Amino acid sequence: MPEINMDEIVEKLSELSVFAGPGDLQELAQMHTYFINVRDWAKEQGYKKTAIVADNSADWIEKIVLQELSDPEEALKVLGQVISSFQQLVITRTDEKEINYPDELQKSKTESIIIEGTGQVIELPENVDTEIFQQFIQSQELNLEEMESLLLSYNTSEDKGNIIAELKRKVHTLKGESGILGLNDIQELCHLAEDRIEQGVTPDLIDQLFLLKDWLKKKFDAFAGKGIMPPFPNDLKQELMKKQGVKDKKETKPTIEVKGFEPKVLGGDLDLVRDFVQEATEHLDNCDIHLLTLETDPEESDALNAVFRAFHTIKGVSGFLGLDEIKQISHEAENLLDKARKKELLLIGDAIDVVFDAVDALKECVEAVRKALTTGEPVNPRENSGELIENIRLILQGQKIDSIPHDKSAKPKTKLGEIMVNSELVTEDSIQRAITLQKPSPELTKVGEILVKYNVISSKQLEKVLEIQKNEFPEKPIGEIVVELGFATEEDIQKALERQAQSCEPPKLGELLVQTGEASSREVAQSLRTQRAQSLMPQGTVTEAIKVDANRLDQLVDMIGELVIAESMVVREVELQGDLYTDLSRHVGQLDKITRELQLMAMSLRMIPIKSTFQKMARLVRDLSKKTGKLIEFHTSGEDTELDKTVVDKIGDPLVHMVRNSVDHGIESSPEERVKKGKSPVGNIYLRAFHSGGNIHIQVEDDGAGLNREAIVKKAMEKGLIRSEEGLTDSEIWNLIFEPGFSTAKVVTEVSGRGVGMDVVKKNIEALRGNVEIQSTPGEGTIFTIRLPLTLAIIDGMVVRVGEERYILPTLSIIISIRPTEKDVTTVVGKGEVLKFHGKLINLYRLNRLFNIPNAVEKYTDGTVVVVETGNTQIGLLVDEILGQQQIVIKSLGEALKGVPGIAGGAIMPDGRVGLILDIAGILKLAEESATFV
Amino acid sequence: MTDQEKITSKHELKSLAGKYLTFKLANETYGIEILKVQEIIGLMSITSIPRTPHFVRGVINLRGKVIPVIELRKKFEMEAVEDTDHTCIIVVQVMGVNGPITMGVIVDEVSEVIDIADNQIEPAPSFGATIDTAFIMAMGKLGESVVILLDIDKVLSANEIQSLSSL
Repeated sequence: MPEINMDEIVEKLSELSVFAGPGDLQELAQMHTYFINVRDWAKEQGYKKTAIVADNSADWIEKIVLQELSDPEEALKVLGQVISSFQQLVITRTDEKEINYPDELQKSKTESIIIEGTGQVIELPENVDTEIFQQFIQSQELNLEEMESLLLSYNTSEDKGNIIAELKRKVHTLKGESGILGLNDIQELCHLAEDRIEQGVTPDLIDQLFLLKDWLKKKFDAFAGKGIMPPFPNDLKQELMKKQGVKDKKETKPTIEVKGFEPKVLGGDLDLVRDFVQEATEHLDNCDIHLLTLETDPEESDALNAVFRAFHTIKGVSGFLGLDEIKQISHEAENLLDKARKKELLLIGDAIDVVFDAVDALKECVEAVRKALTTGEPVNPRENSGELIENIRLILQGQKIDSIPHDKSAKPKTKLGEIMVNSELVTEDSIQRAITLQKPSPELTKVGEILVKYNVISSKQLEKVLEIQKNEFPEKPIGEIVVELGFATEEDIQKALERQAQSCEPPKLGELLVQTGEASSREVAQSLRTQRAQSLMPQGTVTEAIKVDANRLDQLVDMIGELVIAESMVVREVELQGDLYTDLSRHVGQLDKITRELQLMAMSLRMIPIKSTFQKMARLVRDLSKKTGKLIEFHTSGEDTELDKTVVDKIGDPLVHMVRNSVDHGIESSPEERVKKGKSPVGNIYLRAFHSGGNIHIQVEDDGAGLNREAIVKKAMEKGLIRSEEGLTDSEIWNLIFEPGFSTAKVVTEVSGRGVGMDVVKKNIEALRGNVEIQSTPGEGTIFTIRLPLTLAIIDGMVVRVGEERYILPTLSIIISIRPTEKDVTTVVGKGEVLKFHGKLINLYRLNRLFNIPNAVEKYTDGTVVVVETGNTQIGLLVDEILGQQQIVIKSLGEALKGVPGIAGGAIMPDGRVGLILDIAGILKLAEESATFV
Repeated sequence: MTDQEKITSKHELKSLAGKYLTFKLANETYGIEILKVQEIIGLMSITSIPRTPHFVRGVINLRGKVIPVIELRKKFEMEAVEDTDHTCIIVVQVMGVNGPITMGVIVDEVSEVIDIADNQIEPAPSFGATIDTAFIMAMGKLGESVVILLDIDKVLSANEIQSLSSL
């Protein structure tokens, strides 16, 4: 843009505003230009308000010219004020904030959304409300996830064509939606990507789409206030454009201009029109049946040709009669079908849909013509013919034929009839009738009879043939005799045999339904598609979901938690009353049951499948294997395992570490090395999630070299973590890699140098009240198993008593409880105590001493020792007695008491009192600290 | 608290006028701004928490929510007494570092809600370094009696509890 002298423009504007009247078009036009100049300048300078005002002013001028304003004089006066305000801004450099523009000009035509956190403002075009925008952003998360899973499945999928088609559809939809919402950068990239997809699939396309998806993800996250706005990915744009350039000349992309159709007055020979209506109706009805055949077998050439011919005829006649709309639609459809005939396009999914649409549209058009014939009024065009034509063209440009393999072996699981009844297309009765019709006639029609029926031979000739067969060649098929006698050609017999075969094959249910008029061909086609889709889908049903504010959900869960507590108090009270009220206790029993169920349900509300996290890992492995040059196959199972949302959110990071470790260090450094060891060159990483023993297990397994015991021992001794290897089990050695010191372990050999950030992994998992275990076999691989609690809100706890206080120990951390005898416990230096446990000595701590609890058991033989584990350390805790095990709803102790050592949180006990949950790690720390005091 | 802050201007005192919930500790009458008070509950069983300051009696279950309970007598280092039928817990909202915190305060007896006008307010007395009066906003004169108006935010500062608990 050339440098504009704003001072001059504003000066000119003010001159013009004085001279120009509502009728001076020349001057007004000039003013319009200047206002636009001011707007652009203001935008550049960041004067938002001014830009809006200038823009609106330009609009006003336009309206004055068009004489749309009731009082143009007044409007010009107001504009005069605006111009003098501009002068203040431009010439005297007044702060924009201090300038008062007329209110009516300050209204932004566009609604703006200020994105929380980023402070970024996106302007939405007119008529788009912020709610739509928010919904769009929300829905994108899922959309992108689906996109990612499509991309990931691309390499392994059998059905590449479909995946690409699906991806293209997604990109296309996104392009359209973002265009409406004024997200031009997204629209631009999606447009390029769409073009790029059309040019055929290359490996770099998938990479580019990954990049696109990543960028979109960041972008949408930023909109949702979860990050910063990513810059426009110019590299990606170039990449997408580059390929386009090469094939540019090939691309004959017709500009799609969709014009509406004018009402058409019928003229000329009306008899011809009547004939056409008759003919077209017949053709279109035929089309339906053939399209159904195509639906099940997109390459059935007879049906394809028949449909093509129908459209072709309709096109020709309608063109002759000047019925533009019909001509145009049938022309486009014909093009599409022609492509299909030439096997350049497969009539599946959208493509066949659009043909169905075309048939429907034509039916409507023909119907309109018929009406016009009787009323004598002009033919009203259909509303969305333009759209339809555009759709056809899009598909014409779009779909590349990749010869989509048909999985004919896939057995439909659900019956067509069931699907149609379920989707309320037909009643069960209709299906029953159709099935009765479907039953094949018991006797086979004989070949001879068929031949006679179709006038290939006469009945006399047949009699003769039969006689010959009976007397001379009883073994010979009748067809051969007929041919030998010269009554018919071999071809005729062949045809007759085919007919015979057809007559024994029962007609298809769908066809019957259409024939009997129970359902339209389109409905049958839809149902057929559903059937096929279901047979491909492993599980089938898609459950409907409602999005709920997470806060409200948490509140509900909290409330139910309180209800459970209140309820258990009532139950206890009733129990104490004994048999006094039999009815009451029965009712309370019922209440109890309902409450439990309610509680379970509430807990399940927060559960979401771990799928999205697993998908991220799949992506990670893909990227890493490219980077490291290792060949890796990634397997997941149990993606549908549900976990508390918080856990799913937080497990991501540790999993990234672990999967990265498995790729980096677990799998041998090169495929050759694997071959040398007699393994397949392709390494495998398994990610599994499953339930076991009331916990969720997540496993990361690799079939790599396994952990190197010597290297770890050496490193640990260097670090002073252990003194010698003696007496240490494998699992104890493996656990050493979780030590903080091991995190930068490059000294350990490349192969077994695990432990990058493993201490963080362990910490994170323990924060979720879970733990990690390692199993490793040299040369065979390593399995990391993460054990996590089902939910964060409830734990299994062991209630113990110390003095008059009750505490809860998480069952997960308890190993065993024992009643020690005299000789189990040894005093060290008269103060510290150790307990002999499984041949080892572990520290024994007394809760009453740590917590200063009066009136507790002092003699350990009178109490119980609970052996607990935290990290890799086992300790014994002396308590008075164990009261029992319980499911406990965890409550935070609140801000004020957050840091109390040795206490992890509170819980409401069945009697309504607060119980304290012990934090084993905290107790250990406390014990160690207080030991130094002693 | 610095000397500067102790010099309460007449203007500041004015804003202290309003409704106060008064309660008794030993023979003294105290007042808490009514807006800080959430509810008053009778004494219930309190779970004591180990290794917390002596004035923290423990935690209670307030309709499913766990809240800490402070013993005001101990906090003010007054002589401890046995709980009586009149002993109750005033549940208050105090400002914490990350927003309001709900806490319980054990007092000997809750009296009434009173209106204190501007002219009934006197600045908090200073006893030098010997007695900490940081948590006293002002003194209210009600005929014969005197009400000590507490700045409950300062009495029950979350920081204090936390810092003490990590000792």
